[in-house]
Amino acid sequence: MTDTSLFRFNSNEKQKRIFRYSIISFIIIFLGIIIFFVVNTIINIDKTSEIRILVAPSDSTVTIDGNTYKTDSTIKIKPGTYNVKIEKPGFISYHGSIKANDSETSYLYEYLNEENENGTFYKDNEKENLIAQRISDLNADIFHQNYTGTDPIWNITPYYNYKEGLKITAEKENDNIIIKTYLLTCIDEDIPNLKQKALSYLEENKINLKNYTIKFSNC
Amino acid sequence: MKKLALFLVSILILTPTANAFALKEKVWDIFDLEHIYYYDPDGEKCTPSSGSVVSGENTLYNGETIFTADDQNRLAENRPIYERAANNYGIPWQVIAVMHFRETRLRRFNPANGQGIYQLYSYTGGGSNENAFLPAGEVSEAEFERQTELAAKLTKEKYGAGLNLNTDDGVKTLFFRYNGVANAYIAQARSLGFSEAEANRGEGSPYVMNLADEKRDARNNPNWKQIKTDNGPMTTANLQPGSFVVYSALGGSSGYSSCSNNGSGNGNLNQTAINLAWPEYGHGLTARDTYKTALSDVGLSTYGDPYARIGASCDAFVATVFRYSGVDPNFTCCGIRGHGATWNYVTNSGKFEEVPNRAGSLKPGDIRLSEGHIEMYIEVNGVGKIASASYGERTGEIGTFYDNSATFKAYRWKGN
Repeated sequence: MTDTSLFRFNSNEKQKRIFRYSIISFIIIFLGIIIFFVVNTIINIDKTSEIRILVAPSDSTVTIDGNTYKTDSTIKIKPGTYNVKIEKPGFISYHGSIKANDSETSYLYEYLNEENENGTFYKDNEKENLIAQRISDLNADIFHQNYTGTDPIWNITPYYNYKEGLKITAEKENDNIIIKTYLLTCIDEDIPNLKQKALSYLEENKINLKNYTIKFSNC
Repeated sequence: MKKLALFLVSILILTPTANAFALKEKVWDIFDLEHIYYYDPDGEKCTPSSGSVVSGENTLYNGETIFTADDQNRLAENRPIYERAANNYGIPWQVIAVMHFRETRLRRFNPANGQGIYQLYSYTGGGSNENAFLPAGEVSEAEFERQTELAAKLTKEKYGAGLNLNTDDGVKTLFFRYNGVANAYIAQARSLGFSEAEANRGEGSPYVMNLADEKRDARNNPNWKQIKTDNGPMTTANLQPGSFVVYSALGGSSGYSSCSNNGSGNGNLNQTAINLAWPEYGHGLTARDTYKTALSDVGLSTYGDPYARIGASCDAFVATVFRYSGVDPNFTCCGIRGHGATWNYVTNSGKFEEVPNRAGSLKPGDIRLSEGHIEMYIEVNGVGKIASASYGERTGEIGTFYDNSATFKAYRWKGN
């Protein structure tokens, strides 16, 4: 005869026990997650830069300072300058460097050309060709952004006002911006007035003339 | 106990990720700070694109009439004679009509200077044969025919020698030669931003291009000058339409003009690009309604590539502007990189000419093209801008002008 009472739990006691185990499990998991995040944060605390990667062909090998990354990815990294290699058999490898600045995103947008000049990889592979097209367009936009930055002069030039007799363009030379003002006259007496009109146009558009080299020319 | 569990769950849900501690997010919207200072979608003035003045319409760029009713009657009366002489020498009849209009206002009349109805100075031996077209006064139809024949012959063999008079550039050069090529006019064209080649075609000559556009209208540009007497000074230009302007009004130009507000078939690349593109960056893949309509109208909304279909592709945007404006309904799309179809069309079709890629030389509607990207130069209220889209990233948008001449070439529509 078996004394079943030894194995029988009071239902209320059983519920309390299950609840207790659940709470303990939950606390353990929670602490584990917290520890993971804390450790992860400590490890990544100095990875304050980001590199956006887009490379074609999409099965190329992308290595940044020896670490391999996916061809379409975004990575977090410490600020600094890194060596980049992009390789795929049959294609001309890319060897370069990328600078990652604090709290900024840098872009690694590259497509590899085939070693065989008459190769048809991209022509035969529409998906890869479109990735390469996207890379080309993105690089054009980045060049545009790097060229103009946020300087207000680019919002108001090149400017043409034939009625006033003015043409104003801006050009970047290294880090300096040259404002070139063409006075559309061949008559010397008109020059002071046209110069003043040109300067007024710039000042009215909130251009701080001290920040630029301004050149004048005429007929 | 239950309250404690709920509290812990809440904390877990609300705990931010470690990534957020580690990095300030910087997103790919770097152009959000830009704005188009002068953009005024309702107030944009419609300005004819390059290479055109008026196209068979009796108006100047500003809507003013060129030919009076009396002029038109004379043109109708004289046209068979122009055509016969022109056909004999394989030149457009409009060239003869323009010379007649400019020299003696379409009258069959010998002026007193002995140079005849068409003022054929060279035929008179530079004035030594001053009796070549005398007596002064009204002439017979036969004499008018004779002089028209002479004008056609000189046009073909002298002024037009070596020129292709089936092109606008050839006709402009012809008129420039006919009037006498003056260095002052070449300099004037250069001061207005025309290239050396354009200057040599007479873009700075009032005889050729007067009243072609705002900048060549002395009422708007007091610095637009003209030599009115032999060896005289440059003084403010008169208000007589230039020869090429008149030629275009007679339907001789292969160009295009006349503007409308919606950009559809208006023949104006600049206005169409403004109408289709967002006036600033930051719209991602969302096209303007006008662009969506245009994509559908030109047949690109069903094109195979998904991004081209929604207009988020550099080649699709430029192709739509060309097709929808009516300038080139056959503009090939798509493909830039790897010498794709659009790249090949711009560089090898013979419909575009390379022009300097620099501010001051570019004209609204010019294309800038590299091995991997295409975009359009436009002007908004006198300020140069770039209209473009980016594959898979953003729809048609207007951004600031920038110099990319190191890697991009510029191309201008010449016509078919």
